[in-house]
Amino acid sequence: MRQLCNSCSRLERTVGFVVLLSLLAIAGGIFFKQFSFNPAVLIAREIASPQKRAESLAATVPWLPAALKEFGPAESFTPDNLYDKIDGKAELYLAAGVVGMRCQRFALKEADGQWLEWFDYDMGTLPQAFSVFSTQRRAEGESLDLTDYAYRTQNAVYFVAGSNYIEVVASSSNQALMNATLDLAKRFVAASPLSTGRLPEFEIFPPENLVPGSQTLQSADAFGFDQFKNVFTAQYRARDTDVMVFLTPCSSAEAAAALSAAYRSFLLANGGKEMEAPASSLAKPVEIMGGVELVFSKGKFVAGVHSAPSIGVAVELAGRLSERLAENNK
Amino acid sequence: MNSPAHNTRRDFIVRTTKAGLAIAAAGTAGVLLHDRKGPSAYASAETVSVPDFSVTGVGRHLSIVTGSDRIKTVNRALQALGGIEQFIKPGDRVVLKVNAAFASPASLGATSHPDLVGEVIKLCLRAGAAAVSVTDNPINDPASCFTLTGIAKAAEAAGARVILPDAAAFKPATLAGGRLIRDWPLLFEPLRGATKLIGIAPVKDHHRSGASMTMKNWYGLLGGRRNIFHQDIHTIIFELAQMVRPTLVILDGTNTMMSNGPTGGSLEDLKATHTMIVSTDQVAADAFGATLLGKTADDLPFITKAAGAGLGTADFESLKPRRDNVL
Repeated sequence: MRQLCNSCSRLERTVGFVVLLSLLAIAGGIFFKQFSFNPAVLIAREIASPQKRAESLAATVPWLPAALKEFGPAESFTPDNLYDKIDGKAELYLAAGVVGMRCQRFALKEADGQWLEWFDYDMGTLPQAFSVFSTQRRAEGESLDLTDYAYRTQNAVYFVAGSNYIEVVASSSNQALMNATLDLAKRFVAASPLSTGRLPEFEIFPPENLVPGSQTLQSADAFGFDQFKNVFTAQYRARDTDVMVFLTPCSSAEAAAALSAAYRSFLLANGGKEMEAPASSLAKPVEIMGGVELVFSKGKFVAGVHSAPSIGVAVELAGRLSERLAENNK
Repeated sequence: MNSPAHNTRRDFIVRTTKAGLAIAAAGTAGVLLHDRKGPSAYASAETVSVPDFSVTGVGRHLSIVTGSDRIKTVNRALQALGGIEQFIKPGDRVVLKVNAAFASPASLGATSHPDLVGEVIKLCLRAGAAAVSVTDNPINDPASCFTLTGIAKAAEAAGARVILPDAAAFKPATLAGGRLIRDWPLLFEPLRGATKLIGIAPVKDHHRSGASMTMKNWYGLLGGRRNIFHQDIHTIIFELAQMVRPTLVILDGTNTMMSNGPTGGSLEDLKATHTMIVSTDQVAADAFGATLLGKTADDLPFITKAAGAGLGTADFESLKPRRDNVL
């Protein structure tokens, strides 16, 4: 081989280099061209995505109240075309793992102008259903004794039924319409064997001073930290303000310790400053954006306090959460 | 007899020459056959662009009127800018681009309010407009959206024609220098022959862009699987603002959707902010609208992009807005 190479002339080498450079230029051209690919070529033809007509809810379930009649066809959507129904809000459901959605409008038999729309999101699992339920929860909502996670507003009912998240949105707060809306929800729950179910992680949170209905599950990017997935949170009343406490389960104690350290590094890298902590503190708090963050790991959990008004509040709440985690680990 | 080394060198040169000729021939054929426009999504060759609907010489103005009655506030806001006659002349063919994105009732604030749409139609006709049409390409079924929002009924009662989108209404459009709007289907037929364009949008929270106001309202002119633009939502809104130069924008902040947008769903998502904004500068209108959502223009990259490109000003106070209230 060495003998063959030694026998190559300068011209041969030059030609060889030119050929190789040409191939590299072609490859580079293809590489850069792909970034300016025009998606219109493939998908602009679809002026409107046809929505799949689904079988009427009224035809498949026995729970339609007598006061209601169908007010439009049933529709079904997949993660690929959920946007066609709810536009930019689809991102919220997609991030939480939505499997599909069915919806249909119903109207009061006595008044076409009074109608409601039933949205049934199949989220795949109870935690995913709870996630979209909790992150959209209206603070003014009134809890409902319907399922473990349910509330109503002036014109709508929202609840988790097993792995499904249901929204029933009425066109007004008309009393007869809202009665039918609630009746519809109750009948659905009664006919659904898997309508109940609580998330055990929320049993870990201390019950004292917990703000009712404040629990959320953030599926991804909690607090802007991309490694925080499936973070359970709850608000606590502390010194005339509400403070968020959180926890997230990990695969092992080592993974929890690593994630806790990573979040702490994330805070410090984004302008956070370490604070001196009392001896009772589980970790050194970090001051960031006018609040105090305290994160620690306990067993397989990462836990902490988010945006507390003072070190004292953060240390106290973290201590109570740590005690509950210790009890949970027994 | 030549040495083997000499033969190898000569063979190499001959082969290289042949290969070079073959590459050159293939390259020449490639250049000759190359379609510089690329494959089109359309059989039709007609490519369209949105005309400039702004009124020459009027300049950038903004009026902000507080009050809970949309009919009163929009009238007062227009009067503050010199009256609708400053913008609509006898014989004009006016298009109102409303937000009819969802088949939801007007009370939920996800769409343009029918009372407001109806009043603007009446004002245009009173100013001498030859025709007024109302259009949008909704997210949901168009007929249901225009019916259930109450916009169709209000528009027809006021004397306008509602134009629902169908496949023939879309034509491919390309924004010069645009990164996203290239050969993309645009709801163009309602704009064909129009002389004035007014955008009417509510102030809403938006899960993806942070806010949906007058510039985001032009998103309803796009066809196709436009949801892919959600991956770069601020750029598409900015490009739409570059593409569409309206006569006026009317931003309805009577009830602002503060959360769970753009669909909302609960009356609790709304806040009575009792404000009507009318402007010839859509960037300024949105910058003020952001304040109704408790935000600033800096919180919304599409506003800063548009202002940076000179499409309008994010410093709405610099326009010395005419302020008034109707109680």
